[in-house]
Amino acid sequence: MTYKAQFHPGSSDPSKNRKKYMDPEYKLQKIRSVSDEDVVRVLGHRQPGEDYKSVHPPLEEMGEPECSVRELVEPTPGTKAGDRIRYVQFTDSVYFAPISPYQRSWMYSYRYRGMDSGTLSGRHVVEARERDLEAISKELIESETFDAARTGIRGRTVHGHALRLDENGIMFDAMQRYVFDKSTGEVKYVKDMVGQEIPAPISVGKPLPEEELKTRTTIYRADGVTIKDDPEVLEMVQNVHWERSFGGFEPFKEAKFKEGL
Amino acid sequence: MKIRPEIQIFPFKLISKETADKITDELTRFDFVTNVSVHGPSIQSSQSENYMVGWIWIEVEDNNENVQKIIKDICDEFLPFGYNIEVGRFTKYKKGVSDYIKGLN
Repeated sequence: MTYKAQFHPGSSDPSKNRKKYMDPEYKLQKIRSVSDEDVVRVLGHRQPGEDYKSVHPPLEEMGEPECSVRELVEPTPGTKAGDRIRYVQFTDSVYFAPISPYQRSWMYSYRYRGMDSGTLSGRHVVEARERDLEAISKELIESETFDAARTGIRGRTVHGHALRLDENGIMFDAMQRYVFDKSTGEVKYVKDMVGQEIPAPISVGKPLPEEELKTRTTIYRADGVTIKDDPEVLEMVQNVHWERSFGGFEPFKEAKFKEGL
Repeated sequence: MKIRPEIQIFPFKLISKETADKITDELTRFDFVTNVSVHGPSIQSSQSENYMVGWIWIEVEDNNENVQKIIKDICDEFLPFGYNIEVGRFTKYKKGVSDYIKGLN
């Protein structure tokens, strides 16, 4: 029998979504379309149509030393061309965002090559070669892991993931990078990731309704699905805590969990 | 010095400056309201004063059921998504040591 990875324990909605996102064979559902040019504008690392700047000549011209690892690992397109390392950063609201920073890290690690990701409490940064990064950003922005209201593309001044939402259900952004268009019900980016004005607003579509978000989220919350609703997840979490507390101190001690927690 | 009580409104969503203005305008019409202050996270924008409002503090002459009812009615009108009301003292009402050093009145 071949081993099939479970990725994450549990059978509740957040568990299922976590499994889905982490499974590299699952193709992320595309729910909006944003042009390549607009992605470049939102990132703000280069002008649309501008050449990629490089930090070293293309690998083919460099004459690399003989190395079995270099032969084994195929370089990504950005590495082959010698692109600069650039970044994209997403902020995820605690109010049922489709994904949260920690799961982003897990998901990226399963899905993308040649990238370095960093997890913080409310935001997640990923660094990669410029053209690889653009491809990653485009996929993420267009996919189901991005919600117009609860996810933000923020290079700096990321504060806001744990603040109350505004009257339209949009996550707080001190730089007002995106605005809610009341006439169309869409969210539009009027500034790039670091707060520079962009020539024309970029629409990322309508925010998902609250009920839909609750089924799509990977977040366990007291007012949604809690960890306690899913015995398998609870067991895993308790086990992790037990191992952390007693693993190094009294590893022979049998794990004891409180019933009905 | 009489220390007047304050009533705090904590909306469940961050409200815009416009909505907060409407609430403060309604409140300041009443004689029992002596001061209304608002607080919230600031926004970096070209307009010098732009903010969202997360807390409204109403200083009143005396806190009684009638006052509470009037404030609740106003909140129900402008804050359909819900709010909390608390009574206490939330802003500064007398000079502190650092104010004294700075020479503030």
